[in-house]
Amino acid sequence: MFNLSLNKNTFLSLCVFRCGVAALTLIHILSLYNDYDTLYSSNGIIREEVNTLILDNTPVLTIHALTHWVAKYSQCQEAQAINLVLFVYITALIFIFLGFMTRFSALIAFLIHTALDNGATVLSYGYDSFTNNCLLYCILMPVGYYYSVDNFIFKRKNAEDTPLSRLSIRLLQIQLCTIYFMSGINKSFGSDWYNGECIWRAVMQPPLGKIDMSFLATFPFIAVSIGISVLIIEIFYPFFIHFTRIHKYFICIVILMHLSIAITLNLWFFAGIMIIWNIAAYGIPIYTRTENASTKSLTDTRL
Amino acid sequence: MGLLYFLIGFIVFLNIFSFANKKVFNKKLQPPFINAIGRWTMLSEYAFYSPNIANSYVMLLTTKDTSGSLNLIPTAVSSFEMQQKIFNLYHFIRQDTTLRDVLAHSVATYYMNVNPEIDNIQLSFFDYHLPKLSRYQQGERPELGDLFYFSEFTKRDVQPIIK
Repeated sequence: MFNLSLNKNTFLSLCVFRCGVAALTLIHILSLYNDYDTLYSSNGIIREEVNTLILDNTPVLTIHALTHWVAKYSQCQEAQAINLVLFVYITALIFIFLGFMTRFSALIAFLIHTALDNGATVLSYGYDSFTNNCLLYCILMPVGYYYSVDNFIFKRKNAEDTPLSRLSIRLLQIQLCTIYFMSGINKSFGSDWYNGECIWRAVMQPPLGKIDMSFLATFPFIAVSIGISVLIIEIFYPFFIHFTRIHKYFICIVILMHLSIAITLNLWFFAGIMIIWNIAAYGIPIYTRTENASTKSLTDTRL
Repeated sequence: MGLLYFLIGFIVFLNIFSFANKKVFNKKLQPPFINAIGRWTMLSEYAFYSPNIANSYVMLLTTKDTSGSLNLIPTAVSSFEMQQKIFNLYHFIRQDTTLRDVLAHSVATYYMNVNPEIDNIQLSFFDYHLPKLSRYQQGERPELGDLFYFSEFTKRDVQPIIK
């Protein structure tokens, strides 16, 4: 009834996680190309001294500190230093995607992402925290052992399965279950999720609502059902995702939910990172397990 | 290898129990290293859009010309991602009353640098009033709600004030 086991494709899952995170982060930073100065320069929309005040003088790495350091040692202007830092960041992300010096590249990308995030604290949101988290996992977890340039250079075969890769996938799964469960429980305390008002607000308010969804006022039961469905999906995620009979349909529903969020609320990157996480932690283990099971039953029938 | 196991376990442990962060670690008691780890590992609550979704906000930037009439300064951004980030700033200004003034000052300085011809700027932050589902059906439409913050800066003001 419940299947908590992992198959032997844990490294494939980690490879998908690595490539997905790197590709999405790369697209994200490139999409902000016209706004680097606004976001990250010391005279940007959040000035350096204001950011220091917001951080309450916590000793964390910020993009301002990093660019001052780069500008000092390379003797260039701040704008050039920002571009140099972002060039290194983009290169590190491409290296992660290719699996070239994976852990080192992930460390560089993680440090720069942390600096970017800390340099514009009030401008960052859930997606930035998730990305930071994922880059940290790319340093710690063995993500570069499957279809990677490192394998080609060191003449390694694609790794199959190790305790560390299994632990890594398991921990991604546990964290994902915690995220959905806690998010669902927190939502369940709000009355607006039961009467459709939350869905209505989400899709109709700036800056999220982009598509005219005013028809929901004519058919409020649609908003009510969506709101209650979100609660059910999130609270019961840890249960449904391990329930053998429905898990492969459930993961499709979760991905569809995130796709809908991306389309209606324009939260493409947030939806993207959640989809990648779901596919890596559960999608591949579930579908390869199903495939193996059907191959096995076919063989049994033939015998 | 053992150290790696420990590190992965430790970081994920912190994440799993992250929802307790605000309750367990009172901000005043929170040591700096926890704060730093928090920033690195998402040691924050996973309460996306909960328990309810709040009202949205609108920022209007205006400048007064020599005749005294107000002109709107365009604040459109180039990408939806940037728009999302700027919205977080409005949200911060709405929530954090202690840092409002410095944030408004920073925003005003930025727009004055972008538009050097302007010598005064007014920032007005409004709640966005979206009628409830039933009221919308009855004909009520979204409109600007209460003005919750207003400040005015001139070119002389927008020099860095915090050292």
